[in-house]
Amino acid sequence: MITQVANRIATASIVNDDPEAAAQEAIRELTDQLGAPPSIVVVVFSADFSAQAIRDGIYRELPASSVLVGCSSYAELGPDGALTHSVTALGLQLPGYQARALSTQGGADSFAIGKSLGEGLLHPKPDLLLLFPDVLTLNVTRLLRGLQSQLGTELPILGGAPADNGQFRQTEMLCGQHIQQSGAVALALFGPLSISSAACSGYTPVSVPLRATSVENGNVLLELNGKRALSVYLDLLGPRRNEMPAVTIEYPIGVIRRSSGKTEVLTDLVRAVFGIDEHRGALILGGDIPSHAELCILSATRSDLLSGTRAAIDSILSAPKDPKDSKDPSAASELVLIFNCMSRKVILGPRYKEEASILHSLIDRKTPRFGFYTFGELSPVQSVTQHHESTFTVAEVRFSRAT
Amino acid sequence: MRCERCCLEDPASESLDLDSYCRKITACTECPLQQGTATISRDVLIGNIRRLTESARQNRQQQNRIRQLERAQQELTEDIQRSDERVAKLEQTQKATTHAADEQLRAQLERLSAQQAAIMALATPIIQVWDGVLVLPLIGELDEERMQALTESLLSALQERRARLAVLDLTGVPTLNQSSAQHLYRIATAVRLLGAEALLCGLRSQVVQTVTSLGVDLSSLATTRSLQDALRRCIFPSRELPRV
Repeated sequence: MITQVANRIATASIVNDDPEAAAQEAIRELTDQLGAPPSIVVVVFSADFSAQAIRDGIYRELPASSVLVGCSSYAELGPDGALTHSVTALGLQLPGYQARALSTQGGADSFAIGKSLGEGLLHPKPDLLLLFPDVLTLNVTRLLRGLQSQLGTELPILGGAPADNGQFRQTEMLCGQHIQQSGAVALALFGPLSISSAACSGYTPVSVPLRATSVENGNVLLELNGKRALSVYLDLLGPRRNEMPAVTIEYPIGVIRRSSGKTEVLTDLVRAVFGIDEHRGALILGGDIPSHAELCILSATRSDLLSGTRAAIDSILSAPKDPKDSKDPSAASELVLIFNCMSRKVILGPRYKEEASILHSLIDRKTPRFGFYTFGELSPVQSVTQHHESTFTVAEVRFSRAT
Repeated sequence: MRCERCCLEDPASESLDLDSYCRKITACTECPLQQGTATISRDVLIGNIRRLTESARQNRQQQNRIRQLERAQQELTEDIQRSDERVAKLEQTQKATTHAADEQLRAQLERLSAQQAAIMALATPIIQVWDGVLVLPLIGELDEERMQALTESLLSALQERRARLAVLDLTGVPTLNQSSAQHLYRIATAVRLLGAEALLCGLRSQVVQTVTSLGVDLSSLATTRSLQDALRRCIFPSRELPRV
């Protein structure tokens, strides 16, 4: 006799000044919701907390055999919306699915690191990879390319870059009992699932198109229109140049695409200005840009950003569902994952919780949701996973019921 | 006080909320729990533990909710403070930008004014071609402002240079409207009042037709066909010029 076993998904957000107690309480809450300790846990925690305290709190409640990955964040997204200073956990019981936590250290050759990580996942290939790569010790764009060189571009990879409190100094990651401050951690899931995902920034151009005439290593923008990129950028900032470098968060770089006589700014490919090299007059971007790309400076009001959020959510809601799920909706368990850039929280200020409210208003509140504010996002767009920045990414993951 | 029926044994007491249930037990003076004679069934015990666990969970969730709200309040205060600082910074930037824009505009206006004066000077050139003879080569549209400037410059030049003849060369004037034609007439009258004579030259046929159609009579003004004729007349004043 074949029996169907239900997938169970739970999320919990705990605010507590004691990180160990918060982590322990989060696992207790997941256990209460699931009726048993989760077999897979993904945790995101405030960068105010030490990863060690989080790990200790978790393993006080969780069997050692459980699969655990996690990272520090700028703010957390869970069942109670957007929170700071919290431990937010996702607990999964997916009978019939396999899960594997893996990690890698940072290094100079991000492509090679990604390739090596991908090689370890070839047999068998996962159906979903949740990836948390540290943008401070890795070039995430190249890490992703390395992974895709082995696993293909169409393997859905979701996730975000661990964050700190906006200092860009150090992040922390958890992979089982192991704690690391560089590299990446990932959770590979093996089993039948379908994904709808979207990424949208909401930014609009505030400059004329500028040709990237000199770029080094993919992300060091040396020249725009043949002039030093930094001075072009500062000129365009006008009087707000006095607020450098903090103001860069409000003015990321957009990529322009021209095809069939149409010109459009890609809403999902935005690059944040992570730093400047005054000596060389260069802008250091958070991710790579296409070679000889046509770029522009972007800006957004708070309402623009919220429109971007709505557009991304609308996009996944209007996406065609997997026919298997449509036939028997009860046979699938859904999870909404959100990876949202920390710059959006900074710009939205007191209105940052409105993004979560939009999510609540559009997606059934009973559907578990989990995510965090990142230093960079990973999400498929038109079936190809890309590295995003300054972007709201959302994905609906549907797990089919295992038999 | 004693329970009518021991709530530890009565299945109906399961429906009581935990608070009422506990109050009943603690209020009972003959409670078998207190007297150490309790024989509680396993089901009741487990049921009670479940209820206590659920209650503890709710309590834990409530406490978490309170901490979340406290945190949210603190965060809101910080956000408002940050937002205020940002607004203040933006206001400062706006003020500085407005000031800079004002300065720029003022400088532009000054430049524009100087340019206008230069253009006006170029638009009303007065050349002394001979002792007591001034020539005004006019080019382009003669609007009210330009005619006014022309009058002022000419009259003052006539006085300064003690000129006896002013030649207004209209070769470069494509059209004349009623107002500018009348203004020309008034200039000739003013020149005459200063004891000098005005001579129009180079009137195009189109200009003459327009002036005639507008009903402005310039026939009383002295005219020549070209500047050459006008100059020749200055050098060889064989016959007297007609008077206004």
